[in-house]
Amino acid sequence: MVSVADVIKKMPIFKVEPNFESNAVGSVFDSLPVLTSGHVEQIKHGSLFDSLAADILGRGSYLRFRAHGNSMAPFIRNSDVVLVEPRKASELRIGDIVFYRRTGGRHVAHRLVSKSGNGGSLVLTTRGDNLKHLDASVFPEQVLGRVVRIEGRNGNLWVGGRIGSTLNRLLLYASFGGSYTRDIVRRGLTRLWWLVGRRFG
Amino acid sequence: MELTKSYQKSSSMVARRVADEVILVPIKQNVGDLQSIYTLNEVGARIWELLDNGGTVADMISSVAEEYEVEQPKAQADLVDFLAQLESIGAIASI
Repeated sequence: MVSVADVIKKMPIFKVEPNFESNAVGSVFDSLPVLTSGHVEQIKHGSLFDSLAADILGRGSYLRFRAHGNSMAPFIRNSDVVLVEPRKASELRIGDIVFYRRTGGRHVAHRLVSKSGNGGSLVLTTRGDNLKHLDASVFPEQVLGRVVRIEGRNGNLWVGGRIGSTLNRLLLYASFGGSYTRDIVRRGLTRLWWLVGRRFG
Repeated sequence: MELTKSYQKSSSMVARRVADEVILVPIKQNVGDLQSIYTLNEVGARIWELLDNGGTVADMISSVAEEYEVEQPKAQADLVDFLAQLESIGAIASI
């Protein structure tokens, strides 16, 4: 089982007298109920994160957490905090940043490249902005939502509205192909969007 | 705090048992924020379990005093403080 004790600083809220029935100094707090504050990280607390993410989004609430990795850089940088809105696969638009769970693996937030029907059921194709290759096919049951807000180092960016959808799609087309020129265009557009968009984030 | 009071867990709190501890994620304004969670240590986790029994504060004090072999006044002081903390973060509410 995963323990979060190593990453959460213990902060006893109230103190008790030592338990004189025990000689062990370390047992002073053994019978003291303690409430501490902290956070859950995707990498350090993998299965706990997975379980909480599915539960929170499954009940129709938004999920806020710190993202790790550079696959969506510079749009989402390592350690940016993102807000995920619960959405079904059928509700997603091309260009949206889909939050889904890889088969037998961790959660990923990558951009939706295409949607197609395969024998009547929906199949999604996604890719990280900063990656050359497409991800493995994503099926509706893997989808939990889409990223609607990014809290970056220099401000916040709202990408959940109509303008955000249009710009998301533009950014997707700009990054297709993965050539050097396209990469420059993608980075330029991302920077411009952040410069303007963070004022309204 | 009245010892005859009973408390129930809030539905706006997602709880997970992790080893001996319990993780609480408050849902505020319809957002579950993994950057702002709470952890209950082993004793806190046991009290969290006791809340499911629907007993009064006095009942929980008796259980804690017996299980952890502490004197009743000590158990009462700790438990009352702890329940007040849980109430202040919206994890429980009096019935």
